[in-house]
Amino acid sequence: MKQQDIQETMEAYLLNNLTAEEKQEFEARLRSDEALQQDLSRLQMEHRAMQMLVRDDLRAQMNAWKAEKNLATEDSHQGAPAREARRVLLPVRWARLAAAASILLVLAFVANWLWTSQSPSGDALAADFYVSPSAGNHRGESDLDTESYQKAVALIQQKQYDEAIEQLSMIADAALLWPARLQMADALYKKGDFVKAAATAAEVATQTQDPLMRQSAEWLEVMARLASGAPDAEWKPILQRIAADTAHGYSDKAKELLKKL
Amino acid sequence: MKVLTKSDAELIADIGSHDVAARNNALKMLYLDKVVNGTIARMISDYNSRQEADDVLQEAIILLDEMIRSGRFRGDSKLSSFLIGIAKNIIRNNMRNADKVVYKEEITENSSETEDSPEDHLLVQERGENEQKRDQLLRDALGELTARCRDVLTLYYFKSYSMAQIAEERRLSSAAQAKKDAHDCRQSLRSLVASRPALSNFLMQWT
Repeated sequence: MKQQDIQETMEAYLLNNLTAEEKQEFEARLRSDEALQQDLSRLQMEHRAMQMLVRDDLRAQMNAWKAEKNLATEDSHQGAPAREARRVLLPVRWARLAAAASILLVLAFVANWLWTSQSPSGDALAADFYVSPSAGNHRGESDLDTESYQKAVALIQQKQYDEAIEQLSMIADAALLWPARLQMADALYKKGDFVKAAATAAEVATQTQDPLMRQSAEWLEVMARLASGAPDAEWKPILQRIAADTAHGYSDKAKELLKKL
Repeated sequence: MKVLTKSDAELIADIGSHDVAARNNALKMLYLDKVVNGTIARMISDYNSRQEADDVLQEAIILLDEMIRSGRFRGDSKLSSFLIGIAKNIIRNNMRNADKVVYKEEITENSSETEDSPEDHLLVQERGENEQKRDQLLRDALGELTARCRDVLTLYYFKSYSMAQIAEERRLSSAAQAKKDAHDCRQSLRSLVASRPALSNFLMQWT
């Protein structure tokens, strides 16, 4: 049997994917082959390690659900009465002014839309090409920081960007620092603070040791600069470099965006 | 006691499926189920234990998930009752290990709303002292893996992720690149395990 076949048989044996006959045959060989026994034990150890990764991932997922549920509970207990109280206290004259301002805003929005719909603007293109960076299953040494990170990820999903940024800014754990900064850049982008989002993403891109995180940060930086209306010189060279680098995860997107530009 | 909006059969199928969204949704329903949460909190109170109900529930769900995915869950009892049964064993087992057993009262069937099953004992057997030491050593080794490798191996181990899906999730250029990444990360893990003599001792015990 070839080495690759043996490896595959051992994997199938550990995952209980062999037929009864194959299993019997493999176990018979196992009894008489000491080297095979050792190989199988090593493989078992690797499987155990990967099982622990899956467990960590599920734990992180459950913590995010818990944070999400807690936030929903807080909102239902505090948010509604507070909003009601504010509504009652709002003086009528302010309500009229607010209505007038809303009409002006709508008019301004329509005018802006008519003006900008002639050609795709930077922020419209960025909105089309933006990809939220993956939150991953990062965990730090500090349980508190890990919890803050997971809570912030849930807050971003719920579009509570300021609260998420606050959580992320408290994280000091070295293992979570750059994942947290990348999530912060995402939150800043989504709340429309493109300049800060670009600066934060640029910092992650230059500091992180993780190549995939660096690629995500580079893409976020380009999108934020494009959306902010920054001069071409600030983002186009990065975009061209990404497009030229076929190993870059965003190479195809960069090529497509360059075509549109 | 049933408050879940899907049937047990549907939940089990979803948890064991290759559809990550369906699987997460099913696990989330179990995790947030009020009856399960309430019963575990009451059991902890009945045992006068200092354990956190949420820690116990998370551990129980992880074990249930593994049993379903490996085909070891026979489905003889209700899913929520079975989950509570696992939680009860975790509480008892943790108290035995911590040597802090202070019974306020003997737990009854009514208070736990569950009963032991052969599967529960099978789970408890997996949590011996040696295994805990081995897991700690493995956890130390895993700490040296890059975040990228942790992600890739997590996706790979699920099997529900094809190489093309891993490539998409990790924003890699192709399935071939994902396969190479999975291979390299597996190799890194192998080297980390091999470089630890204490883990090798465990290997010797297994053979």
